[in-house]
Order: sequence, then structure tokens, then C-alpha cells
Amino acid sequence: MATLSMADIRWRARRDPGGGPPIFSVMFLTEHDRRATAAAAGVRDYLAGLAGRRRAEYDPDVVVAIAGERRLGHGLAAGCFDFYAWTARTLAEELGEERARHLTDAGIDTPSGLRLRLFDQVNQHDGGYVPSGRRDEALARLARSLGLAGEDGPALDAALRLDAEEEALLAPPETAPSVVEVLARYNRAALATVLRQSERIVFTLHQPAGGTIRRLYAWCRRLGVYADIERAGLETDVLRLTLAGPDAVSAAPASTGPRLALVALRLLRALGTHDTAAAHLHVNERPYRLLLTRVLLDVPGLALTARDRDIDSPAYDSQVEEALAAAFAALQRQGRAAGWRLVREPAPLLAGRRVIIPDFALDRGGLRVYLEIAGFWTPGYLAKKRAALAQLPADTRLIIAVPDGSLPAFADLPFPLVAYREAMAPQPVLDAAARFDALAARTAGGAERLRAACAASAGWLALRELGPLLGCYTDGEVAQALAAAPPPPGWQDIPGAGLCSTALRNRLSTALSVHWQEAGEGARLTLAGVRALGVSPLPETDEALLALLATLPACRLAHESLFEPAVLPRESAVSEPADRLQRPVEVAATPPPRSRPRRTTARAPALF
Amino acid sequence: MTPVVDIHLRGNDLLLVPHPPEALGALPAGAGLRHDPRLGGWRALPLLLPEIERALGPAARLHFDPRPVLPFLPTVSRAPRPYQREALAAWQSAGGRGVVVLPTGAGKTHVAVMAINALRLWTVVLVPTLDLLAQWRAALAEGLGAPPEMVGVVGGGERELRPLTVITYESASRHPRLLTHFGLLVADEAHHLPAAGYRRIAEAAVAPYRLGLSATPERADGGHAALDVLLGPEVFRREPEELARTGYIAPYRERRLRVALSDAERAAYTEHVRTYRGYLAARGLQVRTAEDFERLVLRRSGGDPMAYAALRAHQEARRIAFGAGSKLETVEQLLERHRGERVLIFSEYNAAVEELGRRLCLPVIVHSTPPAERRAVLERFRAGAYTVLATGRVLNEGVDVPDASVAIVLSGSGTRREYIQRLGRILRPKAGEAVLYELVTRDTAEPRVASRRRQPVGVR
Repeated sequence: MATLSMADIRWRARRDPGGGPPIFSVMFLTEHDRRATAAAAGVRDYLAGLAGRRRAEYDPDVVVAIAGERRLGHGLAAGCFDFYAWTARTLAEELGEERARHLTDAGIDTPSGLRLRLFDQVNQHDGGYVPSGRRDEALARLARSLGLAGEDGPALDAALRLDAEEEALLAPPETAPSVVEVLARYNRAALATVLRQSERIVFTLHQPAGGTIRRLYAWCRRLGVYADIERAGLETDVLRLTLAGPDAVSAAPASTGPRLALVALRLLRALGTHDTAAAHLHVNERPYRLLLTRVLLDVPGLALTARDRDIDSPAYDSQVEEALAAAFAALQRQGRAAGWRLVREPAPLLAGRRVIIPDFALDRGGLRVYLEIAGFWTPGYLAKKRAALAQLPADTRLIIAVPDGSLPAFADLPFPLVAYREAMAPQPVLDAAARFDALAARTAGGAERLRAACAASAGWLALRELGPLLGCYTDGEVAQALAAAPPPPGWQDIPGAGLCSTALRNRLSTALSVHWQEAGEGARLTLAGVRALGVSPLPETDEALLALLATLPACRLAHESLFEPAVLPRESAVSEPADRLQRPVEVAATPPPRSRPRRTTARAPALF
Repeated sequence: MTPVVDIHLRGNDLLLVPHPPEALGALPAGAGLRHDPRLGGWRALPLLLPEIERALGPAARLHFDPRPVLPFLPTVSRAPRPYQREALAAWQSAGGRGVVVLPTGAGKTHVAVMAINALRLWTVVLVPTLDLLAQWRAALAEGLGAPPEMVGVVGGGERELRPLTVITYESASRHPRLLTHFGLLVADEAHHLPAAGYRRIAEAAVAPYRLGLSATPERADGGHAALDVLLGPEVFRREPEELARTGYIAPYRERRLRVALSDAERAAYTEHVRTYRGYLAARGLQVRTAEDFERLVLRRSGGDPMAYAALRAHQEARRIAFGAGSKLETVEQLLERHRGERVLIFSEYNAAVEELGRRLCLPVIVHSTPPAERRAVLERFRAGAYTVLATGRVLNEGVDVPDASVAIVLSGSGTRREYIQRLGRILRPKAGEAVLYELVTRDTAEPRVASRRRQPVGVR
């Protein structure tokens, strides 16, 4: 972006009727300003005429003369130099390929290297300097030492200062900029320059949506602009978002103005009718206020460009957050997120008058746990953040993820900490979140709900139905819940698959026995064959059906193929008395030790 | 109940919590306390800690250690020079706060080493440039016999907070909380500290003991008065002439050589002066000070074409006077006279020094010199492989410039600091006399500028 100094900005100030610091206004350039457009065209054409010429030929006084005044001339030239650039020539371009190869062979590939070689020679042979009358001799000697002819001295003389600023050549753009484009670049640079003088920029927002605030805040942080949000008072919904000035921005000073301008313009777009914004400036050691209104967005160069918009909707404000969200999404795809849903832009939390916008929230069954990620911040920012978090009520459901080295700074806060190094794994976060969601509380009343569900069922309750019934989110939690509250009489737990009624087991056993009696004992059944026996309801998934079959004394599973086991009669089972087959299988009051069903070709499905 | 004031560190401030509230009554009215109802206490700048402690006496109950002791025993092997010992004694008599003024090359670093050795507290050293960062690190390790792991630097991409830490002003101003760990604050080139962006460093530092070092503490904006508060008063000063007499810095001569403009230069100079004066007369203005010039010429030049023409005429006239062609010829004669000696040439204008370098095939360091070339030139000059080096203002301070025996000031500003710093480049003790040549173009404004830089602050 073009860079300007305050001396290049056209501005004026007027008295603040409210008695505050004078109101500062920048005189932006528009296409309706004939003088500005004529000057912009003149400056642009002057530069176009210099294309391919040396910088030494560029005369800033010409630019001033074209514009009629210094500020406008310098400002427009700065705008043009966003399109035109000074470029240095290479040694090969100056000396020709052949001579340049000699230099390369001598280990010299820059004008700087050539100069050092000259200085070395001068100090070896001439006592530190060359009298002006013997300069040509020194250059000829330099040429000869590099394998060139002594006559090449003058060519080397030019090469010696090839990287000097005044030797750079003006490279034009492919297409000359339009006048409005030049004005736009000037305007953006002018706003950036003025905002670089700001101590702070304050936005007063009336009843903004939480999501809006969250996005704005994330946006500020992404651009390295420190932002603070607080309520204007304890009994009001008016929020005050304060952008710290360049002193607090963690970036090179030259980039702070453009960053502040970009953030300010983005925030301006989000302003409501009653919202206000003002930058508090110091110019020539006097305080001023620059009122920022949406009118600015109509000024050429201040409407956000396509390039601005690339970063207009930041996905995340840091790589840490982005990586966490991606890892969490993968966990969800694998069904291992334990029912948690990752929410961005949760509603802000209030800590006294301070407003804290956590990075994420984790939602599950009406419970929300906030996650604040302490990034790799400056000590000052870390301290501010810590102080703000300390203001939150101790019972806030909040997890703080902290870089390893910063753990001690947060250790005395009453919230669980999750340490990370460069990237954050989601599982420790989920484990920490689960601590806010006690299993005992969730499963209270689960036995009654289970009994009612069993009574209403035709004989099979799949594992995915058991989770919600018992208030559980993982297989492990279901196992724990069933251990504490066993299935009602007449029902058996099929570990990793579901609950099966004794009646259904008996019907299935009987159907299998009948099939084998009719088809002969050597007849194999596939799972589809089992389903074709007409017993209902059977588990929906093959894995669950296999788990159920594995518990039946009437059959055995033969893993003869990689794809699907065969269902065969158990030898001893077929010789069992018929009355045994018809007698209901007793289910022990205490369930047998749980073990997961043998994995077959596919992994047992997770709950969700 | 015995009154007690709990003193904590909160953010960049001290937090004073009195029990009972009246316990703060012992503090003077000017202690700059700000009530913080949120934390139920009073905030104060860490700078004021010694005063607060003194006023509260035994009622002060600190919840942090403002005087952390070094975890190793320093050993200073080098014997101090008498004036260094005097400087330390003066600083100690002032309660361990104050500014020591010594010329470049007089061993200011060793005074700091002695102060650290005397206090044996965690120490932070503020320096203005990355060059000095490395220089101080080596000096502390060597001067105090400190194990390498005890000395760290913050700045230039490094971030090692150690019992002896060297930090740039820039880093310290960005991260003032880093300064809460130290008992002694040393500010090298202390004249930088009163600058608006750097004052907060001194304000946020807890260090009860403070030592400022400078060859030229005076600031054109009068900001040096603030050093009294930020570091303490000036406690010791030695001028170059005094130390030269005692042989602790090189004896030196200052010679002003007057040169003349060529006819063409004179005509152009006169024309530019006429343009400038014409503007002042036309507008009925009088420029007596630098502030007048900024207000009446510089700022007005933005929108007033005549003011702009006057500004450009002023710049051109100055460039002609400062860069008179005969100066280059004189430099050549001086180099011939001092052939074989180590010579530093200083110029106000880069263009003049670049022209000189080009004409005489001299190594030149200006702001645009590539870093690798700059390093190579300085190293070879230090090693004696190069004997002449020309530079603009970029080497005025904060760079470890090798010693020379001859300085040629082709042109310079009117500031005494720049002059003293340039003089300091030839003052390290050596066999023989050092000499500083000042080339001044007669019948121009330059002699007045040259005289101004020799005057002590307050005289001009």
C-alpha cells in the first residue's frame, strides 16, 4: 500500500461543540473533484513517461508543480507508486552475459560483491583510497583481475552502483491505472496514515448480535489489532469495542496503519443506525477526534476491495483454532465426539463490565461449555486476558486452553486448563468438558425409562436407542449405566449391540433349529439367510445380529471367509432335547462380565 | 490494628491495598495513586516503588521481590579507572539512581558492570540498537565472569529472560511487563528514554535502582529534564577534554577547515537564499528557531506553493553549502596527509558521501548499504584491512564502530550530541594524538551551524 506522512495529508479541524478535542477530518479525493482528477491524471502521465528510466530522473518538484501543491502532489505520487515500481537491473543486464559470467566465475553475483572486491584491491595496493586522478587505473585493474579487459573498467564503474536507489528503473504496470484508481489508493493510504496516529478507536454499538460481535472481534485479532469489549454500563446493552492504537499492535510499524484502516472499515460496515465510532488522534502533539461514519464507505478506495474481502470473513482467528475445528470435525465423522457439538461464535460472557467472547462453545444435551484458547500472545495481552477471565464467576463452565509455557499464568483461575504445544488435540478438551456433565446426574431415572422402553419394545433395543434412554453418550457410558441399573427381567444385554428380550432369543433359536432340521445339519446360513427366517425384530446392523447370534446356544459362527461368517448349528445344540430349546433362557440377575463382540469384517458401530 | 499496605504487581501497575484504608495517608499527595474499585485498591506506577516504600516504612508489605539477587557471584577482574570509581561512588551516594555522563570510549559499560557487581541484583540493560545488544551481552559475560546461561537478550527475534538481560528500547516498550523481574535498570544511551514511546519503559520498571549512561544526555526538545524522574539526577559528568588531559582517552585536536564555494555554486546558493528570504518577506514572517521553521515553512509548504518553493530553496542552499565541491578536494588532501592511518569520514548527506566513495573508491556505509556489505566493511575496518571508511548519519550511535585516529566531518547537523558522538569515535586511548577535522563552507549558513554544535545546551 502507498505510504504517506502526515505532512502529505490534506486535513482540517473544527471545534467540537460538545467541548471535546477538535474534530479532525481528512479531505479525501473523489472523481467529482476536478482539480484532484486533473492532478492525478497529470502525475500518472508523468510517471508513464518515465517508464524504463532511472530513478535519478524522477523529480518530485515536477509532481508538486503538476498538482499545484506539495501535499496533493506527494499524495498522488504515492498512490501511483502502488502501480509503478522501481526495479534494480541485474549485473547481466548491465554488463551483458559474457562479462557477467566472468564475475560469477570470480564469485561475484551482486554489485555489493563487486564493491567489496574493489575495496579489497584499493586497500591492498593504494593505501585505503584512490586519488581521483588514478581512478580509471583502479577500475582497469579490477577488470583485469576478473578476467575482463582493462577497457571494461567504465562498464564495471556503472555496475558498482547498480543497486543504488537512483539507478533503479521505473517499471510500468501492464495497464495504466485509471484516475479513480489513483485517487482510491491515495484515500486508503491517507486513512491508514491518520489512523496510525491514533491512540485508540472506539466503536459504540447498540444491541449488537452476539455473532456479529464475535466475528468483529475475531477479525481484529486476526489482523493483530488488540481489541477490548466492554459494556458502556452495568445496566445497558450498549457495548464499547475499543481498538488499541499502533503502540499495542503486534506488527511492524509500517503495517499498523493499513491494518487499523482495514479493521476500522470492516467494523464501519457492521455499524447500525445508532452506532458511532471515533478515532482519538494526536497530530502535531494536539489531540483530535476523527469521527468514523458509514459515509466513509462511499469514498473511493474505502469501500472494501475484493482483496480485502478475502480476509473479510476469517474462518478462524488463529491456526490453533482452525486445526482444532478440523480435528474435531474428523472426530465427529468417526462418531467419536461423544455427542459434543463445536459451536463458533457463542454468545459473549459478561465479567463485570468486560465482555469476553470465548473462541468456541461445546454443546451437548442442553449443556454448554465454553472454550477459550489462550494463543501465543504478547505478555501484555496475556495479562489482560487473564485479568478478564479472573472476573468471571467461578462456576462458569469454561475451559482454558493454554500454551505449555503459559500454564503458570492461569494456574490460579478456577477453570480447568488444557495445555497444548503447537496444535491442540480435541480429546483432552472433550475430557475436560465431560467433567462439567456428570454421568450420575445424566443417568438418574434411566432404569425407569429403560423398563418402559423394554415394555413397549417388540424384543430388541439397539445400542443407539439405549444412549438417549440412559442419558449416555459413549459405549463406555452405556456399559457403566447398565452395570448400575441392569435390564429388566426377561431381557439380556448383548454387549456392544443392544438389549434382547428372552422371547426374541427363543424365537430366533427355534427358527434356526427348525431350519437345520429341515435343511440338514450341514446347511450353512448367511446373515441374509437368518433374516429370511422371518423372526422379527432383528438387529438392523449385521454386526449387532452377529453379536446376538454369538450368544445363542443353538448356533455357532464359522469365520471361513473374510467377508461374512457362516451360521452353523452347534453340534451339541442340535442334540439338545426339544424342551430345552423351548424353555426360556434364564437371564442372570447380575449381568456377565461385558466384553465387546469379536470384530468381524466391519467395526462395530458407535452410538452416534 | 497495625496499619499495613499490601503491595502487589497487577498488570503494568503496582496495586496498593491498605488495611485500614487510612493506612495510605502516609503517602505524599503527588504519589499519583489511582483508585481501582474493581480490585479494591490503588494503582501506582512501578517507577514510584522506592518513594512509596520510603513513605510507608514498615507498613509496606510487598508481595513480590523487587530486589531479586543474582544466582551467581560476579567477579570483576578489570580494575576500574579512577573516574569510573568516582562515578560509581557518586551514583551510590545518590541512592543507586542517577545518570552518569562520560564521553564515548571512556568505558561507560564498565561503570555499569561495577554497579551490577556492587548490588548483585537481577539487572536489565536497555540499548537502542541490535548491534549494542550483542555488544552488551559479551561485555556483561566477560566483565562479570557470568556463566553464559545467566546472560540473555530480548530483541531482534531473541527472547531470553535471564538474571542479566539486555533488551532493546523497542522490545521493552512493547513488553514493559518483562521489566518487573529486575532490581537494577541500566539505560545505555539514556537520552532515548524521555522519548514519548519509551517513557513507559521506565515507568513500568519495578527496579528500585537505576543507572543511566550517556555521552550526550541533553535533548533538543528539553526532554532530558525527565531523566531526573525516570532514572534519577545527573550524578557524574566528565567532558572529553578532562579525560584526554589525564590520558584515559586519546588526546585530540579539533581543526576547523574553511572551504569556499565555486562560482557556479555561489550563484546557485545566492539564488536559493533569495527565494527563501523572498517568501519570508512576502509573508511577513520571521524564523528564529527550529520550531518557527517547522510551523511557518514546513507545515505551510503542504498547501502553499510559495512556502514549498521556499522550503526547497532552503534545502538546496543547505545541500550546496554542506556539499561544496571543494570539500571533496580537501578530503582527498587530508587522506593524503594521513595515509595509512585509520580515518572515518562523516557526512550529513548520503549523496555527498556516496559521491566521495565513488570518486575515491572508498567503502561507504549509508542506510541503504546491504547488511552483509555493512558487516563486511566494518569487520575489515576493525581488522585493519580497510583504513578509510565514509558514512552518513547511520553510524552516529548504537553501532560498534571500530576506533579511528582521524575523523573528518564533511558536514553535520547543529546538534551537540551528533558532534560528541562523532568525536567519540576517535577517543579510545591510543599512541599519538587523534584529530577531528570539520570542513565548513565560508560565507554560508554552515559556520553558524558548526558553532552551534560546539556550544553546550542552553547557550545557543
